[in-house]
Amino acid sequence: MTYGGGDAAREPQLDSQNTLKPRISTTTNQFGHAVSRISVTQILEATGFEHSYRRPIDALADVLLRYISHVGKLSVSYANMSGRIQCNVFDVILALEEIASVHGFAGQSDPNHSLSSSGVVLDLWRVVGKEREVPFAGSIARFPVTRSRQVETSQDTENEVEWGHIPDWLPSFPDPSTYTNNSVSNESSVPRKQMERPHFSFRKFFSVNGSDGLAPSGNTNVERENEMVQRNPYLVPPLPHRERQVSDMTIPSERKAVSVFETFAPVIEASGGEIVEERGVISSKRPAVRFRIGVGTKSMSKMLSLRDTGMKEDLWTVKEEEMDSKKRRAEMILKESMEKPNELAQL
Amino acid sequence: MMSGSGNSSGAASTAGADGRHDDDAALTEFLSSLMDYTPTIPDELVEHYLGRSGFNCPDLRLTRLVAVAAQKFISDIASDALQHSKARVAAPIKDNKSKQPKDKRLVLTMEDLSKALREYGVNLKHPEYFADSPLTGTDPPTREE
Repeated sequence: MTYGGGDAAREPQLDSQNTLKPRISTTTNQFGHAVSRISVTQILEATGFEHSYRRPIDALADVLLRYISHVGKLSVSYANMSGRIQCNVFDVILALEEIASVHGFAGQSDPNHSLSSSGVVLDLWRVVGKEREVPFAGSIARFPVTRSRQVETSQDTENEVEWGHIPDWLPSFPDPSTYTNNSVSNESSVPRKQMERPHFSFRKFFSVNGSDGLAPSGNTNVERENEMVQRNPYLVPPLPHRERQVSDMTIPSERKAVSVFETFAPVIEASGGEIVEERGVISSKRPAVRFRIGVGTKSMSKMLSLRDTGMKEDLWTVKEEEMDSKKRRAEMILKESMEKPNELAQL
Repeated sequence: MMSGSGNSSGAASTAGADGRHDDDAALTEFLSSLMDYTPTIPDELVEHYLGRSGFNCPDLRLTRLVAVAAQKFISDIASDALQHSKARVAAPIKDNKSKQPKDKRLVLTMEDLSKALREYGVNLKHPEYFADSPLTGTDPPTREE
């Protein structure tokens, strides 16, 4: 039987972006489709066709595969309806009857007809008994063929211990010499370039800090600590008591009079010493607050009572424009601290 | 596999029982004869596609039964398409002055196949031409419209 070319319009070779899909879409179906195409060609030849185009054969091959799948699906559904998971010969006969009901078969109108002598079965018997047997051309193996997994036999996994609890499909462990403290094995297995690049050797660091069970080093704890001190100052162990002399802290009591001028001596010097020195004792009495608006300074929301402190009022107005803003601020802070000893923390 | 009778109504007459026995015997004989017959469709292909549908049966006779049924189905379609093709060949030629006689080769075309499949409930539509632009196939005057 000759296998002619395509029809008037060639079968379009479509891209994946196009909506139309090619007839043989997936690789898993290609083999089955090819085998069914051979069977269909043989059946057509036995029927009487001498020639055919490519597309009708592809269509018939597709129809054949769909038919087989449909019979299987129907048989399974009949078996499930009867409460079984394995199909019976009667499930298959019922499925064949359902498919043939479209075209009609002998005995279809009788609802009580026997399945064993159903018209479908009789037709099949006729095919087996009378028609010329046309076996499949060639032989095919059972498919799909499961590819045996190739175990990696790289050099890294040659000496690997087989763990019973670790599945084989996981990647192999790294070379033990990369994480052990054995210097001999390091130089031999690991390339020197990779080890010499980082300035800080993590391997040594972790081995010093205690890699349990992996580093059979002979270092004692003292030596390890000394090494740690040399490398990382943050990991230095705390000093024991009285090893280093530290000056005692003097905590001033709250009742003592705080010399504000001593505290803000540098501030006073920066302001030029224009502030008149006053008594060091801070009065507990709250002064009256007087506001002066429209002076032009940055913050004049609070005015101190100059009368209590004894300072001259003219000091603010006269020398305001001449003084720097820093000096003004320093003066303000000073006065606030004098008036309100409780708010020293804020300053 | 041959558990019970296949009679859906379950008639319990003695004559029916004998009949059933005969039917079962016939079915058994048919299934055994399947093993001697090699269908055109290979068993491996049928097993694979049945397995994909959930058909789980270790019995090879059922697989052969489905293979024979599929072969009969395709052969029926092919014979119907052959009838259509013969009818086309035997149709009277309009132009009696044609130089060449009508081609008497039996070629399976998409047209015959689609006609044959339509009776079995399979709709097979074959595009007449490959359109690469929206105006393909239209007449020149209609294009302007």
